[in-house]
Amino acid sequence: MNDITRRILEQMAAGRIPDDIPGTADYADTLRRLAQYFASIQRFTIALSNGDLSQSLQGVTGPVAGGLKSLQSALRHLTWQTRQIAAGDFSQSVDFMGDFSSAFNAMVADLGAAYGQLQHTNEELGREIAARKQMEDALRASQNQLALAMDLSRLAKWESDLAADMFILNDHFYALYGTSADREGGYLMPFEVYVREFVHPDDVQVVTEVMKNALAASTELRTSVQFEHRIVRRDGEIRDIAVRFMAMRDDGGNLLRIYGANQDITEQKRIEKALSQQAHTDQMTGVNNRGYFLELLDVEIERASRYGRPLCVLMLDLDHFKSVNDTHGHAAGDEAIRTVPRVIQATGLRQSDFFGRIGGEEFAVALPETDLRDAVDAAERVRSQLAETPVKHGSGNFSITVSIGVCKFKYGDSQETLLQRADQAMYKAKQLGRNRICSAY
Amino acid sequence: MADDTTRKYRFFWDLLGNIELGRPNLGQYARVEMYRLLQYTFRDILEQRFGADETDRIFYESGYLAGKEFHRNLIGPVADVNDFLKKLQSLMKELGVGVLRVEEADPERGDFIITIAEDLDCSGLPELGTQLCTYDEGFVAALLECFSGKPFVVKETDCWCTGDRVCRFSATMKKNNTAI
Repeated sequence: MNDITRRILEQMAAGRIPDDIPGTADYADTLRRLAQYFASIQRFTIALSNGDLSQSLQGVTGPVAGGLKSLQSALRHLTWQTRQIAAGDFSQSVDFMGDFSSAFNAMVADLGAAYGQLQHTNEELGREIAARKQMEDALRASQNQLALAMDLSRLAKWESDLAADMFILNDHFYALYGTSADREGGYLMPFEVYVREFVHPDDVQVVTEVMKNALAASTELRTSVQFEHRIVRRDGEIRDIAVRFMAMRDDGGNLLRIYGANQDITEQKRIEKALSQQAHTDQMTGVNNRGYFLELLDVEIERASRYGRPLCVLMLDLDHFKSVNDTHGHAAGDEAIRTVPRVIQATGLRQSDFFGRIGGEEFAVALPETDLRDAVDAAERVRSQLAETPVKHGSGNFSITVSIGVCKFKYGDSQETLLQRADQAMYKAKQLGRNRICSAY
Repeated sequence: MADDTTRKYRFFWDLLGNIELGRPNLGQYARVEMYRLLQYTFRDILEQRFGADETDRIFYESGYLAGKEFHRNLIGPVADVNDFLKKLQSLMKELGVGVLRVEEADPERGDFIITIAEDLDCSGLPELGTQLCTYDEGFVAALLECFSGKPFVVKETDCWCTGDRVCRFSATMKKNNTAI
């Protein structure tokens, strides 16, 4: 063996691949094939160690190459298995790779368990989110319904920020008051500003008292208050407002929060007044009807009885009313009836006096704080004025007269006894010739 | 060819027999060497009679027949390729055929590279300079065809007999869909 060959063999024995094998070396072709073999193995091994599984040792045979290719095959399989695991297949397992198999399979089992737990948690979370969303949807629907109801009922809610001593208002509230947040400088308003700017001057005291009482200490955890007052909107219109609020306290009686809602009840009041008037009013004449007159009379009888004040009653009845109807017709008769209260009012009733139509052609007048003499004078004024007032009917006129009974309240009188005596006096006036006054004592 | 139903050696699965009944004492297992003694003596005589190429074809077709019956009787319906490969891997390990591993699996393109370590046919054989596992080639081709419904061509690229330490098979779907 020549020196060149020896050097090349020693290099290869030391694990180095010679750069060049000259033709002068013994067995040069064989040495070159050997060098190429080592080079292929080296490239493949380095690629493997860098994680490059794509290199091929195709055509390179023998146990050494075979062992490395077996290792590459195992790594490629592991790579494929890892992808399956990443896709959610935790049934993958590694066999016949000693400690690596144990560790890898344990890791996959743990991953599978964790994944299962995560899925379970996700499902629970999904159910919780769905339930919460349902609740939120229901709450939103409920809030929308409430807002709609409040809108339809013209309810303007508010609440108090006790720490800042402010009321927290909103657009609904401001709309009710004919204003806006922009105009009022935001949604917070001190109570005194509200009272000064919006409460009707005649109702300031009521409002202030109510709030003062509500804020006063109490052992009740919740205090509910409702009252009414008038407001003056920014456009100057006066409206009636119903206020309802609840003051919430803690166990120590400290006020926590006040929640309230105001409602415009102007229209409601108007209707109530109209209905009340309708209930109290005689349809034909527009004056108090019998029922309301008697109610008012009861109040005066009570006052006269309690305080010993004078009270007189006049009972008026149209004379020859049937003849008026027969002669001039029922429409004329109605006009005659309507004339009586006009004349009574024209004779200068005082504010405390009141009267009503208590029968077909019968009227009664109550004169509180009036003695008998003044009552008789008042009756005479009515009688004479009525006698001089023609009743217009169609193209003509006719005259009417009344007979009047005057009665003074006596201690112990009831409504019935008082009116009975007045009635009797009126009948006596009729008997004495009508168109006159008779008194009862 | 003779009428298939009257042939003497027509294969059917029950021909494997009732091992429990037939071998109550020796049981299911036999030595690998005995299996190989049977196989390689077959090869020898077949080669003498018909030549090496024809022998390889005979073994490929035998492996293909075995693969079809194996799939029908032992694998059955599977959910997807992953399920198929896991089942196959498990069966091959359980039956001592070999340790199946997957290097590539692309059922869409019809490309697979699988390895079988400790192969029943060739692991531990001396280096002969050529691949020997033609029976396995046919076996794998039939399995892939039964799974995908499409014919495959399978070629062993690495074998213990070429000095490697695993048998690597490259399987490619036949483009013209003709069966073997």
